[in-house]
Amino acid sequence: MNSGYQVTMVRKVRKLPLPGEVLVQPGQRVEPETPVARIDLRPGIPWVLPVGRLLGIESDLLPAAMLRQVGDRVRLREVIAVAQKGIYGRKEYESPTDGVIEDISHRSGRVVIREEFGREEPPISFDVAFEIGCKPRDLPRNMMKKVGDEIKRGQVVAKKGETQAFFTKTALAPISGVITEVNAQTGYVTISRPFKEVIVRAYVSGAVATLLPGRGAVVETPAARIIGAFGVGREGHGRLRVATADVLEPNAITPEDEGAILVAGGPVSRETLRRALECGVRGIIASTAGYLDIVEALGIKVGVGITGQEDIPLTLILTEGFGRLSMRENSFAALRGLEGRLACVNGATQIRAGAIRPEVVVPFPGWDGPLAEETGPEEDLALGQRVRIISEPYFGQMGVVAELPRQPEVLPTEARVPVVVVALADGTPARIPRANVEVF
Amino acid sequence: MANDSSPGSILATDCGSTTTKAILIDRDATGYRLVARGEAPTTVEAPFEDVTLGVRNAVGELEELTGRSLLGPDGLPSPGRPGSPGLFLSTSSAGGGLQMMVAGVIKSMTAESAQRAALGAGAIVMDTIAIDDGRRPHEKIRRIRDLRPDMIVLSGGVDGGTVTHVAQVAELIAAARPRPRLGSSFRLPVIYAGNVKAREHIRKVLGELVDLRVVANLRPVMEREELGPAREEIHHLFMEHVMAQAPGYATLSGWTPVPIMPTPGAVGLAMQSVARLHGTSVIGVDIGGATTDVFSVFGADQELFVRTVSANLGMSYSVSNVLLEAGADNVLRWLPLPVSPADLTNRIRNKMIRPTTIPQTLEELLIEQALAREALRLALEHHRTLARGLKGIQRLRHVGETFSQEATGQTHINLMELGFLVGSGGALSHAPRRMQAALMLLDAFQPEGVTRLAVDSIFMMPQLGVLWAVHPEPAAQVFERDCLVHLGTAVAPVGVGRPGERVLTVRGVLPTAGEVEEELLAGQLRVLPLAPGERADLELSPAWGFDVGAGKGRRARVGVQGGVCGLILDGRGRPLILPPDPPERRRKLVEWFLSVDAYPADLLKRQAGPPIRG
Repeated sequence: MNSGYQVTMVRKVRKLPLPGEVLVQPGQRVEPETPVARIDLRPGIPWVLPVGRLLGIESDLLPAAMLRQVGDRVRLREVIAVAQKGIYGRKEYESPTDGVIEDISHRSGRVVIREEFGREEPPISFDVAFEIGCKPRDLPRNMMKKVGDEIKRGQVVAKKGETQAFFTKTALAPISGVITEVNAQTGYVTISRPFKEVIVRAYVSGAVATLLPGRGAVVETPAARIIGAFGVGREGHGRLRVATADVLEPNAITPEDEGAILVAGGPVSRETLRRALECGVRGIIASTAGYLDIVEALGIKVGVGITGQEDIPLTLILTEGFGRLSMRENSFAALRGLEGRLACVNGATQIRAGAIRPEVVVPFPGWDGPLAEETGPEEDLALGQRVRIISEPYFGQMGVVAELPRQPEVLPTEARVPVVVVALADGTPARIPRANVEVF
Repeated sequence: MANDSSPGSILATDCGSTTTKAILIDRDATGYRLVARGEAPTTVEAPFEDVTLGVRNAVGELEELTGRSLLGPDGLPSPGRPGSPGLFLSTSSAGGGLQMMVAGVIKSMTAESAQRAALGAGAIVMDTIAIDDGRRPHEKIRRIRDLRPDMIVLSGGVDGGTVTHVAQVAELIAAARPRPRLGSSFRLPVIYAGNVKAREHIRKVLGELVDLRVVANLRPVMEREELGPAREEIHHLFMEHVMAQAPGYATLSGWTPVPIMPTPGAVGLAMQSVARLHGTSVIGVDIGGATTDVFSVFGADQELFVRTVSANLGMSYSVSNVLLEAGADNVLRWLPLPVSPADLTNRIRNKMIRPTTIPQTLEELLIEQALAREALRLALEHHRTLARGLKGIQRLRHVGETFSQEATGQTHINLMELGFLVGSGGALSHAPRRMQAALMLLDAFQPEGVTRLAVDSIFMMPQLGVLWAVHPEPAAQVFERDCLVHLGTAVAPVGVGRPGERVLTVRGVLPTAGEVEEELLAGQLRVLPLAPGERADLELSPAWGFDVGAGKGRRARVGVQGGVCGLILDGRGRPLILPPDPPERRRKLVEWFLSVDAYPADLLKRQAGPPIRG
């Protein structure tokens, strides 16, 4: 086909985790940034309140003391329970929040109220430094919560005066939410409602093939698709630029590469990754990288083989794995043929059953040529096939299948396994376990 | 011999997450034997979505190997047909196995008991919720909601005790409105195994929301733990709910008269049976690609059974995590060759992204086995934290304990008491030389005194476990003859000696070597010939300060069993301390490996010298 790549019909399921609103129509043309579906997640915080104990009554008397029942909507400071002991022993319990009563337990004497938030409540900023009487720059030291922490109305946000309790000054949260900013210049703290808008975008440019009611849609497009061995980083897209056929050096990346997807036929180093982050490069497709370099430059660690959710601005796709190898020729030729086009990348890698590998999808929305069948990654070995060896001592070398012995053979480790004889580039035959070669 | 009710031949399958393994057991004049084993990819996921296809393919391979037709013309097991197996059994861990959440009142008491019940039944425990787990109620609620387990076990309180706390935990679960992982149409199963007095209340709180099952309290009194009823209910629900959601299982369970068991639950049964059979304490370990399971059976009557799963310690998918948790230095310390940490990390991560590759060079094999040692060591460490006595109980103490009062909840893993160590999983079962498996077990677990070692030859413990539940005799026979490869017996005196110092003298008569009187020096590793099936009575005289089970410096008379490796005398000390200097440590490792002939000697000597790479 064209310059080493094949165009197949690529279908992408774009789906929300929970039912929400679908924003596209069948047949609609979409771009990578087009929102396909959205949902406002409003994780209402449940308040578990020991009302029985606070009223000083036995747990089994709680239902009788309740003024409001399960399912009732209650307001802040609304009296929800009353206990009467003698003439003067009246005690009332006020709801500490707006919400819906979810449970009244006569066993534990507790009431559960699930807080409700309005749909578009703005975040609230208030002068905490003033309230506790400290200089704005000292505010971070006095904070009881940090940015990202969840806080409930009435909880202590910051406190000054650790030792003399009598002089302690505190600032309380006026609303429930998540602390989103602690400003050491102004002394203000911002609390936002834990609203989370989840938008699923099209990821590739193409057309909506089918709708998934309430969840999203399947987007399809004729595209060239290249699979990597390992990746990190989320979905993204940018113009494809082949930076080098060899090792990608830091000085090969310029500020003009902002938002681009760079291709290197060789490995990337720690310095190159740092430079790419500085220049705002959106993605790098390279043959290999050192694991420790990825850890150092991108600040992530890989334990079990599940990636793709890293919060990094760059998506890195390694076509061969770790160490120092060059990219296999057909992958590089395909990427070179696709230079200048819009490429969509996703670093998600999941190595367990139902394996997911990182991918580069280059859409051809107006393609009217023939579509190739997508071939599966598993192919049986055959004589004359080009293979790559994926384990030591020939790691990364390519060759041609010269012989397929029927009987298992003994390896230097003394294990008896089925082997393949591969003629290496210089013609030397190498006997390799069949599990240790990849067909391409 | 088997009695009349025993089936003539037995077909058993284990549907793993990647491979379905089938074995055929037949009866001959001497009893039951394994006839053949077949395997095929598991077909629980798309595009097949029918587990029975994989089972048929695996049985098909058995048919090819044996030349017998094992399934009827309709492709179903037909026990009545002449030539067909009389019994079909199956276990399963496909579709992610059984994932559970447990909840209790006190983290180290009832919640821990619930955790033991779930693990013992073969589950992966995703989280443990307790009143005192340090999280606020709304955090727990969110966690319950986010996890989406297959089922929940709720326990708490002794029978007749206070109801309030367990009610609080139930209310948290109710507030979370939990949903199951598979199938959105049915309600999440919750097993209540707590205070009987709270049952009515729990029914009111949870009855409408979840599929509530009530079983006997797993901690009826503080001093006693009864996990049986909860475990049975978990198995039952696993079949009824979890398996029913997995494609093809409804059909498969129609094939077998015995409920399909979760694979680790069946292995646990096998381990317990081994302990009873040999009348000794057993530790079993199964090191897989993604997880490592450790089973232990201790106690005077082998009544303390504990299983743990180290979810992220494994040899392929999780191999990078072994490196992260153990640290590169701990892996490198087992290598007799110089390898740089950067080279090691790249190689291990390449193994992670290509999990099916197998070591071709000695160097690769040594790296893989170094990782296996660390994975096993970490898994045992994890196991110790859960295999412990009940916390919070009253103990009668005598005057001798005045100055040595032990707290409750001490681990009952006593490596001196351990009689039998069984290894399983690719790294151990497929090690090119059996001695390599023996060394991995010795280095990782460091058994003390006299311990028998064995590996599972072809991983058929799941099938034998489920068979043990219905026909113990055939299971025991096949287990001893075909499943276990006895490696031999290890004798490891406890204590640390100076190099060259005598630590042990062994006297006795060995069947082939005749009368022996051998001295074992500190830092030595040696083997005496003792073939499979042979046994010998030995007198072990440890040096002053060393212990082989009878006390420091005390002589012990023991009967030892042979195996493919023989009688291993381990004088390297307990705890095993490796020389801190890398070249010295590598020299010592080479010496040990050569002295027990664990690796090809010429290759090992040749490779042990090159400079550091990378």
